[in-house]
Amino acid sequence: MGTGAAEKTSAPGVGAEPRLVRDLFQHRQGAVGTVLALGLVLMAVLAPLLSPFDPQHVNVEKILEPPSATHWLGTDELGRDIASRIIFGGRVTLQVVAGAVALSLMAGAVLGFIAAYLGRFWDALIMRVIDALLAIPPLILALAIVAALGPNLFYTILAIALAKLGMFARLVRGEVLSLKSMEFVEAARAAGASNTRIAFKHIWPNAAGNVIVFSAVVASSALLIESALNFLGLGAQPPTPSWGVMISTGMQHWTLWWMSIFPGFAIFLAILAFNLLGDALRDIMDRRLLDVGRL
Amino acid sequence: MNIANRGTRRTRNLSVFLATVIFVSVAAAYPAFAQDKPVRGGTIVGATVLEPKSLDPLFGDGGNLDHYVWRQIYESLLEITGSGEVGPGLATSWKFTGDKKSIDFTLRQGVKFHDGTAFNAEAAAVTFRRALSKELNAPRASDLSAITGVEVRGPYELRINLKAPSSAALPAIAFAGLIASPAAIEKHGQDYGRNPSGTGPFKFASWQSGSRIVLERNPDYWRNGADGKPLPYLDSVIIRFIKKSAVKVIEVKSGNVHVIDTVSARDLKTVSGDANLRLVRTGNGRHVMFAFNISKPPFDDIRLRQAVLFGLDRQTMMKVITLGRGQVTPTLIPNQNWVFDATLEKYGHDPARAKQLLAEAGHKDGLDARLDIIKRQPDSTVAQLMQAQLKEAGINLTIKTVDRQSMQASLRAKNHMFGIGRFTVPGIDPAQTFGRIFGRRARIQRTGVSDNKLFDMIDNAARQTDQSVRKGLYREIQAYLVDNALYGFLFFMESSQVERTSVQNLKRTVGGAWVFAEAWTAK
Repeated sequence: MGTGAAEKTSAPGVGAEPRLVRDLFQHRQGAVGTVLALGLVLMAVLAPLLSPFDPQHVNVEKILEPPSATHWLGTDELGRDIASRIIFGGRVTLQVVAGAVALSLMAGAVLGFIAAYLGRFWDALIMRVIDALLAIPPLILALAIVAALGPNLFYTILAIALAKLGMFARLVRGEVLSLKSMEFVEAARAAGASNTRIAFKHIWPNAAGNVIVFSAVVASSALLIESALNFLGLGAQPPTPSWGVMISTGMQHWTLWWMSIFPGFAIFLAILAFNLLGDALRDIMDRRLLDVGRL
Repeated sequence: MNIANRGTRRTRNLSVFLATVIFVSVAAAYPAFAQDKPVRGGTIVGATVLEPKSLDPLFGDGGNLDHYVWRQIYESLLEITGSGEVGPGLATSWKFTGDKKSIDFTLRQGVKFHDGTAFNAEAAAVTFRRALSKELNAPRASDLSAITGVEVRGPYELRINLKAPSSAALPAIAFAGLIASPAAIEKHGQDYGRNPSGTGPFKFASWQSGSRIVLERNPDYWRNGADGKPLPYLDSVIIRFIKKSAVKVIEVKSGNVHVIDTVSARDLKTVSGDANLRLVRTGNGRHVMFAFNISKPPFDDIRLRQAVLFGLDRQTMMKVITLGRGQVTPTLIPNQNWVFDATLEKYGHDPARAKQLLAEAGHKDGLDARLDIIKRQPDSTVAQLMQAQLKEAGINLTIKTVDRQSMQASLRAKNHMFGIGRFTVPGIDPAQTFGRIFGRRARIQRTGVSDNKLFDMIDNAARQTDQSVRKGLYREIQAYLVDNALYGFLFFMESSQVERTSVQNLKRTVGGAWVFAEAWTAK
């Protein structure tokens, strides 16, 4: 990613501009990814309206029922509606993913920026710490953090953010390093722009594109970690519905296929959405950079 | 409530009709089946999860699982009946001496070991001497640690000396004192574990490591069957070793195996629909419970503990979680056991009473409490059900899932409010069950308090040797646990085994191990 950086200008970077949306929908995978991701977000936001039942309502008269007209995806070991639990589970999952990605993006970007912009000692210090962090597999790191702090939604977010921040830091550092020596930055500096101004007005807008693309990729792996933590019982606490927990409970009743298949499919769709979106965004960004190069 | 069975009346009637037709035709074809009279001959194949390390009963490492094979080859001086009481075995009678520190056994005459040598007091003494031998240092000797010595007082008179008066000594002797032939031990030395010789109904024939042990009928067995001729009815027994529950189920369904040991609950569903298979409740299993931390608020207040207990609908909980294969009991003692007492029950489902108790204790607007659980099943389901049930009683439960180590640490540090656990019950004797879980030397004091009154009651009961006195004392101990609302005894999950319907009269030990002595097969 980030080829053709040599031709970057200080022109406004990418934002939520209509052009991006148009490009996304022209990109076939991007369209699918966007629709899926939007659907996921809508499902989470509108969960109380969409779900046919209260996801926490225990009904001992209807335990372990296969999918039917009333319970489209069946019921679980406490007679709760699986469809409703998947819908509400998406809410929890998206909260964690959004929180973790935002947190790791911010922290990682700041660290990467400082390392690259200040260079020398700070660069060495920050990046060695990040290297150490990245040496630990993200799931193991998140697992260790949550196991130490205790299972709790906020700690889950924190753990995933910490596990992922190194990648953002590296990315941002690389971008900034290459941008720092660009002529337009030199020009700005010659014109007497302050460090802060150069950082925020000239460098960040150009680096932001790749960072945002990368967020989509990180989101999918964050979702995997979140599900894994939940599967292991270290994420959302019962009775909060969660896809990972639903799969692990379903495995206790493996002959009752509906208990794990549907939450598993939900995780699959969510990850597919983020991956398609990420790929599409990258393609679009690359194309744009090429377009810029052609000018 | 209709949980497991969702069939309509019509299909049920139809299946009853079909079952009757099948039964009648089978009964007509095989008179033995209908007459319920033992048939001689045939082989039963059993599958159990663990292969014994050794067939020398002092050198096993499988605990109760070793008995699936051992109990066919060996017998003890005493036998434990289904309700956990002690009855005669190779000893015809026994009594405690005046100071209760020794037991005098009168042994059965005319019994022979498989190697042809005679069973007598001298031979029986060897088993106990081996257990006591420092030199031999046998791994299972600890099961007989209550014993300090053994004396041969006549050809069929044996005295066993105890460290202290103990009612648990008899069940321990019955469980672990499997009598082996001294001549065979002498002859085979190190290899005795693969050349066993006992007095049991079956003789060792062959052992294919990792696969099976074959046992043949002992023609000289001392007990007679219902037909007046010597037991056993079967010609041979084959015990296979299969680790995976699902594989065992497939084997018993296909008929390659006739009986299998404990099956996981999730595999039971496939069994219940098969007319050739029978589910057998072994009487042992796990009691799911929680312990209150009474060392600090909120549950230092008995009213709040009782409020929780009244708020729970254990019957529903048991049905949902065990799918009907369980019991709700006043304490952890299952209803087949001799110290079980149904009259101890005090806490039926009564949310109104719970609310009233909360109000009395100053929690009119409800109580917030945290329940610690270990990440495993069924604990998490139990916790969520408790949460739903207690909500109606005005108690808001937060569930905290931790790993096993953290749970233990939390129990030790008394950081918990209450936490879910489970006990394997019943033990071979109530002295062992209560001592291990609630006694002075229990690994963890789950209530956060060292309750000397309870410890004294448990110690005292363990010292008694009179069965009826003991029964009264264990009732008092259980009443103490219930009255003080120290624990929430939720429900008992029975272990289930599966056998083919052709298997008849197969007995089991308290731990669920098979005893094929009186079993027969309707072919």
